[in-house]
Amino acid sequence: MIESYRDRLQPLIEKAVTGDRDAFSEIVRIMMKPIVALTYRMTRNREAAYDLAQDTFLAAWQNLSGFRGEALFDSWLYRIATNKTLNYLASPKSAVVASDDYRLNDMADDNTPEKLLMQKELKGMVLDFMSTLPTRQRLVFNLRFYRNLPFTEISEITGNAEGTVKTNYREAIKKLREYMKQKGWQS
Amino acid sequence: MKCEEFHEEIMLYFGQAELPVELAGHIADCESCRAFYEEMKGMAAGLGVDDDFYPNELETERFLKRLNDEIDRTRPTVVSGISWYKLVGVAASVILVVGISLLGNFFKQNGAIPESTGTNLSVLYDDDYQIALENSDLYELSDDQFYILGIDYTSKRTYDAAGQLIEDLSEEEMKYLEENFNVGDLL
Repeated sequence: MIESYRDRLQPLIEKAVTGDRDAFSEIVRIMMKPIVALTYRMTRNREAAYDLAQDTFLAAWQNLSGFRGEALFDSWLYRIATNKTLNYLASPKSAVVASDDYRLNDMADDNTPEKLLMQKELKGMVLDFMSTLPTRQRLVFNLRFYRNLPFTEISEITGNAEGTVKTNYREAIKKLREYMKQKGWQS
Repeated sequence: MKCEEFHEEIMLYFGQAELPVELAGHIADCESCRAFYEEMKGMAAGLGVDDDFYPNELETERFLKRLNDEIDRTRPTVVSGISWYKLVGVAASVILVVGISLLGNFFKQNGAIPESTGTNLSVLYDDDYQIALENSDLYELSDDQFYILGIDYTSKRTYDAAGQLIEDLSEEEMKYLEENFNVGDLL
């Protein structure tokens, strides 16, 4: 999955670094969903999530000429998004009560209303759980579980040692397991 | 490795499609670790994929519009691979040169700077000095032989040390000057 969008990104990046706005818009279309999903799960605030995503892409455009391809482009974007999100979470404005305005993607027709409701409850539960995690654990959980990134890349994105990143992920999983048990969840 | 240590390793692959060979081999042989792995797998499946916050097409295009407006507002920073600060540097230099030239003309027109005083003598370099000696019909040397008479290059006239007009320069003389002297030094 990661490889497929990276293959699509490569020729677009080459055009975008020369100032091609259309190519950059296409990059935004491809990367918007994972970036917004990351910023939303971290902040749990729809408006802040979109603002942070916009700041991320704006900074990416402004610094595109300095992107030398030493890091993977999506990792570079995640790093920008991560820094902006961590700064936001450290600021007083993040203290605003988080909204619960997440919603499900359009589901396939074979999903019954009961199933949809159950999935929605579960996703709400996961978001609740994630908001209980320390920021760094939440970030690592997002990048590893939802984005399937290897620990080496997460280490580069977060600026933490690989061992620390692994510990963060393991701790998050242990807490998730406990949380699910408390909620009476069964697989 | 003990089973507890395997559990710690299995947690690092929570949500991942594949396990390393060593872990997969152990799970195949160990009932406790297999049960733990199945529990992890079930939990990960329950969390679902990355679709809980999914901007639709309309939202994506709206987001892009906002982003592009913001990029326009903050000025594009990449133009044909040239970074913005280089462009600003070039623009500032052009403005400075044009500004000084316009200011000079303005003061000249208002009498703040005399048209030509005949005292704008320039220091000769050795080679130029020799040429000046050999062409004394064009250049009259002053008492101080390091100077030649002032030449108002733009009006194509020569002046003596007292600022008196000697003569207009012919086309041939102008051509000679351009070919043999650093005109900037003569001005």
